[in-house]
Amino acid sequence: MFVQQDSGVVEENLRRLEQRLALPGPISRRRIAREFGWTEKATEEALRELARRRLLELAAQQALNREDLIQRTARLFRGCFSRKLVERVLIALLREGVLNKLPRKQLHYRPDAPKPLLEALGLKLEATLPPPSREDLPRRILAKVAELEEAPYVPVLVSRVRPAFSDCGKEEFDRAVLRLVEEGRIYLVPVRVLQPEDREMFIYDGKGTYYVSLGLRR
Amino acid sequence: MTERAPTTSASGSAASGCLADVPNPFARGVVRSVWEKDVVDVEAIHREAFSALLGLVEERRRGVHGRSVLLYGFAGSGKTHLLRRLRLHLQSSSDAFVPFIWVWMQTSPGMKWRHLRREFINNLLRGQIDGRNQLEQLIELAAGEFEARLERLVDRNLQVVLEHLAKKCFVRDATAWLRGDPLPESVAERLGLGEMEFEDASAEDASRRLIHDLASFSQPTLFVLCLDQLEQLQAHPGDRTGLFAVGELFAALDRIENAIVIGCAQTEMQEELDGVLMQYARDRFRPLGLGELKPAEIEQLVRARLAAEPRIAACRPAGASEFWPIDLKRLRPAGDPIRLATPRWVLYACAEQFEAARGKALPRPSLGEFLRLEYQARLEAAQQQLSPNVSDGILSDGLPRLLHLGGYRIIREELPPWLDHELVSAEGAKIGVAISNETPRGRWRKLNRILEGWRPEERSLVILTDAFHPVSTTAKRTRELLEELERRGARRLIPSKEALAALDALRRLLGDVESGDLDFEGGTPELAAVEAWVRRNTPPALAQLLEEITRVVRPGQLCSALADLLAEEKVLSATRAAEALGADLEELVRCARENRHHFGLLMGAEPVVFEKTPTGAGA
Repeated sequence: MFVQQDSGVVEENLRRLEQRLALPGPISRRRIAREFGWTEKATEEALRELARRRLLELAAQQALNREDLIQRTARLFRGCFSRKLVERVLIALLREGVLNKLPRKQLHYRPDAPKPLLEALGLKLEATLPPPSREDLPRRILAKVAELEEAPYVPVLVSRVRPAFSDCGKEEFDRAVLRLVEEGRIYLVPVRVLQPEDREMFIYDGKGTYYVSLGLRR
Repeated sequence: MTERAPTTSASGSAASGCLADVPNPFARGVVRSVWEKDVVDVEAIHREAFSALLGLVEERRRGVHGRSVLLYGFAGSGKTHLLRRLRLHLQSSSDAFVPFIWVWMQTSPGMKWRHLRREFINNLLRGQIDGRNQLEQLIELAAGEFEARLERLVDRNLQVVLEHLAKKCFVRDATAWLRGDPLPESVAERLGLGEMEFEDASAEDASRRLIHDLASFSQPTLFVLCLDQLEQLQAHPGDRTGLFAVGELFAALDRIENAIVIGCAQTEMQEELDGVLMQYARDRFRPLGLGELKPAEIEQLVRARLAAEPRIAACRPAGASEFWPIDLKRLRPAGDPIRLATPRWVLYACAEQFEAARGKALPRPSLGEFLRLEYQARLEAAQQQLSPNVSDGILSDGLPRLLHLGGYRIIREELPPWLDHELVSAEGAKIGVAISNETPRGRWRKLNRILEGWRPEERSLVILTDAFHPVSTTAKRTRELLEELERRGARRLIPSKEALAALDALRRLLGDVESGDLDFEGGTPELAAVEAWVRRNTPPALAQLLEEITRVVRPGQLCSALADLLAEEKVLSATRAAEALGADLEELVRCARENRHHFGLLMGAEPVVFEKTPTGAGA
């Protein structure tokens, strides 16, 4: 089960999931499951956990009424986790007593809640890591492709690589990939059928060709 | 494209002259079948992938049922070549006999099991060792427990046929039945066979069961089943039905304990498969990739090809490299960082250098000229091979390709069982296509189902019965059903033998482009460019077939009736034909003239109409 994994893995997976949700282009629960190699159930669990964290995060920033809180949280998921499901998570948090009810039906989360509870929720209050440097981008791409490659010369889908690079824009990512191609370090696989909604995801060479996957040259 | 060779020196000129009569050892770049002979093989190339395949066989020998393999590679990366190496290795090994089945998957998803069955048997009939083919060896291996093995089988007909083959009786008819060829009732009776499958759906199911049964009969003997060029199950890139068919095949074949299944597909297909197949379907196979050649592998390839032609060494100038006349430094794809140094590309670049060294140049036809020649070669082969047994497969696989080129969207999923394809025009008009080439009894059943299931308000309907499968004049009930359907607005078309040959050539051309087997300047032409060429140069017989299928206006019934009549009579005076059909002579002559791809017409005092048959087509 997703939440029974090693906490470090859970954190990493949730971070990747959040980054993936932030990427443009079509998204669905099934698509996420496919891209991450998760089961549908694990995907749902991950989305639920992310919803739980998002609800707490928003409620910690300001007191919001129930509808606002649900709506703002559900927006993050772009249809992959419905308002109804978000509402269920909210009800669970209310039952657990994590969220406080304020006057005028507003909900609020107190981050000064007891430490055991924070730990139980898997929340970390430490500062996030500094963003990776731009110069590192080609090296990080190579490392990511090597990590995801199932076998030598079985290329990795761009849709599986991109979520790890949500810190850089599409053009920057594409430029870095094309530079690696010119250096003879990776190869690209052109798309056979291009759906308009996939343009944002695939690598574009600026000459009319989109590429759907990439692999390491050896 | 590679750089041109530098100008040769005086000694080089002498060497050029010496090479003039030496065949270019790099000219052959494509291995089309694992059964090809005289192929130069360099074992160092793709050694890891080869070891992985051998490991799969060893694993299965130890009783471990691991996942099947899907071998991905770019065009010309050597997938079929590698499978050929595996076949040779297994067949020359002193280990237990492992039958080798290699199937080129150019078929429609709806016929995949029938295609697999036919090719499965064709392969078992090959691989002669000590004068015995693979099927004979399998039967001999079973000798001690033949009866017990027969007991494992579900299909009584298969039991009977295997008994005949073990006794070497009725071998020709028994193997024809194994392939799935329809047998005349008298022959089936003589073989002692019970009722056979008549309809498409049940024939597919029967073929799938037969493969499982044969595998069960073979146990504990393992066999390798290669499904090459899986992309050809798609009528066009993006065709989801073809992708689902790949998943279905792996899922069904994975259940066979003694089958070692190896699929091959273009790397470009990976994303589509990944997008369409559910995780459980993808779990049935593990991917394996074929990449580009490393410099050491390029050296070995060049060395092996040069060694295959001993006269080259005799021409080599003193002090020249062992690779002369090839300059290894120029064997890297230049100007296109995305192109990999695949074996085929390297061979093409070497072939160019070799020609340049002897003062010639490889012919460089334009893409249009190249495609014209390739189409013509396939057309000639299709005309030779055209027969009633293959026409169904040609229509089933070729029509969606033709209709796709015609700008129609093809639907093959979730259709009623009596419908083969549905095409949707840009305006949203739906036309259903039912292919009715079954045996007389099967056709009668299918037409009955169409009559029950077809709603004209949902879609218009075209019923195809090709020129090899005419409706007999004695098939009264079938004729009545057809007339009733035509009365309700269905159109009946009879693709001519000329159109079938052209359709076969077209599907083979497009299939070879999709699978990267059309070698053009060391690579494969882009599918879009080939499709554009086909659209501009559609053979008239196909243009007419396309027009007839997609025509919204209902044509008269006379053409269908005349085609049926001429399929039996071949040549008739127009007057007699008109009498036989109860038609007006003038109307009949007009019908023959307007459908010149179906009918021949000789005008004179007594006009004569005849069936049009392409040169070389079988009866």
